[in-house]
Amino acid sequence: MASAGSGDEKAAAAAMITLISSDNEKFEVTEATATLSQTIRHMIEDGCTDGGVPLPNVTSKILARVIEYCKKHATAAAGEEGSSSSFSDAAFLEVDRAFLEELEEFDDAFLEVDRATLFDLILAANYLDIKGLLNLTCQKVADSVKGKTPEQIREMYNIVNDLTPEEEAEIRRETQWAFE
Amino acid sequence: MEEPDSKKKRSPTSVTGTAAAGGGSGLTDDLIVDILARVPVKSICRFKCVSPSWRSLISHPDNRKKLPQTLAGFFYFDEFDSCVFVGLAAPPPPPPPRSGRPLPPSLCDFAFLPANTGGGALDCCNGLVLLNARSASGSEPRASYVVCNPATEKWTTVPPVPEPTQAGKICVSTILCFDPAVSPHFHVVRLLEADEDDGFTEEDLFEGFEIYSSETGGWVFHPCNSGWSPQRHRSRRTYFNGLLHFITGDQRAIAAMDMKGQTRRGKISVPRSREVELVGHSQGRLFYANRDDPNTHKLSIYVLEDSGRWILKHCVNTYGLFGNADEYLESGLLVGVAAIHPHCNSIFLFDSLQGRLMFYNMDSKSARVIRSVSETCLWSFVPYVPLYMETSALENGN
Repeated sequence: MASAGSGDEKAAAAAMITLISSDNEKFEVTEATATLSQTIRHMIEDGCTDGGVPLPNVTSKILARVIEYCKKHATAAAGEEGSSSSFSDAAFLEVDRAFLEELEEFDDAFLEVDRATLFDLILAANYLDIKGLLNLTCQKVADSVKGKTPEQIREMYNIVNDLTPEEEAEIRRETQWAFE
Repeated sequence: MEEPDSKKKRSPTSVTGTAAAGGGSGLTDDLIVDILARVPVKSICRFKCVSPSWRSLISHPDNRKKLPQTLAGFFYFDEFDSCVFVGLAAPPPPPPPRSGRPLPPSLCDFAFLPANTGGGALDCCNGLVLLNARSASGSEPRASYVVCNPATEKWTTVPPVPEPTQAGKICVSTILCFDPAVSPHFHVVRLLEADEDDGFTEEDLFEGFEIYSSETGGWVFHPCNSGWSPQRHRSRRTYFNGLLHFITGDQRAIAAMDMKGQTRRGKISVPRSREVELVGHSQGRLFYANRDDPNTHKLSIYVLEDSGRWILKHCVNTYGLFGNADEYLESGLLVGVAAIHPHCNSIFLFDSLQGRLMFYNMDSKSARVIRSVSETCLWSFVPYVPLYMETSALENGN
């Protein structure tokens, strides 16, 4: 688990980066995978990844999921780049569509997690600055909240309602149509 | 390599932002806003009730730029084309009757504009407002305009119309077209008619459009050559998906024009009736309303399906819906459709006898009076949805 991907010949040839979770677990990943994170990309550019990259805000459980996402999407990105020059337009579109479908299936399965994990993934995607993962996870939460009542939201987010009844009545009056 | 002892330890939430609105979820305010930016505006309105921190998060000026906004009110034009702003938010509880209390400033005052800049409001489109420019003293003024955003208080001037195109023609209507989802630029469309006294119908008189683009900074005249003429009244047009939709002069169809003056995708025939009420749009679809014949109290609302067919969405019989029906019969003034709500299944009705603007929910068939405005026989309500985003087309004015 800690050295996932290192058996692969091609990956071994590429530069490897070691990521260290908050609970001190080490993950070795290719540079292509790691640089989906803008935060890590900047660290590589600044040459400060020797001896591993400590990520004190991400647990090993979440980091493993984040790496899983990055690996898949890094492969897809590399595949797209490679295919554009070696296929005719029609064949390229075909391959492209297959890639996208596979990626979509992967994303859907990836999001099948409990709410706490989803929130942790958002925090990690934000901290590591991984645009695609942040979009994906925020959209998932947005889809799950859009039909909800304020009461359901309080429960989801573990929020105590300290609006006074007067304040709540005032807000409801301002936008009555939204509650109908 | 691993240290199982520390595995259970939760990491601190995040390095940036505060987590007041996130409650026990650990999400920062910035992330909650990122999520809310993907949620329909109806949900956002409801979520103001979640907690005081959600309420202030949603209303915060920095966040309003990112979050979708909804209908705040209408620019209401009477028969003399004078304009007032009619807000939808419930007014605060009535203050004790006391004279001399100054009225709060109205959105329609445009107090942020420099003195002697803006004249009367003419039109409004997706958060921007078109005003007559106050003419400079001296020589015969040519029409010029100001476009402003009351939410950001940014504005710009539109240069005067070139003189030659005006010979023998008069402008009967000036329209603002703007949609930040389509382009950061706006257009001003002037509807020109031949300057003849009588003996002609509106249709015969139509000469063409004069269109200003904030991108090119110039006016272009497009003579009438598509075989249709537009109706003048504000309720007979709507800017939707980058096209200006007009009810045609013969009241039989809706024609769509792009901002290069070209008619697009052919005319769309509308359900026949004695009288057209309005054309508008809501939730990504074109809406059309008409009045039944012979039952003039019956209003029908249609929605255009993707297939190009009109579906009858709702019928409302206004007879007796608001007080004494006989009064309406005697006066000949009818309740009409003022507007379509852009984000929910509701319409606004206007009772021109008593000057009451009403909210009508098409799902629950319930109606309530929003407020009274001055009664008038010829009126129009132009929806106003605030736009807090900065618009590059307005930056030079400030």
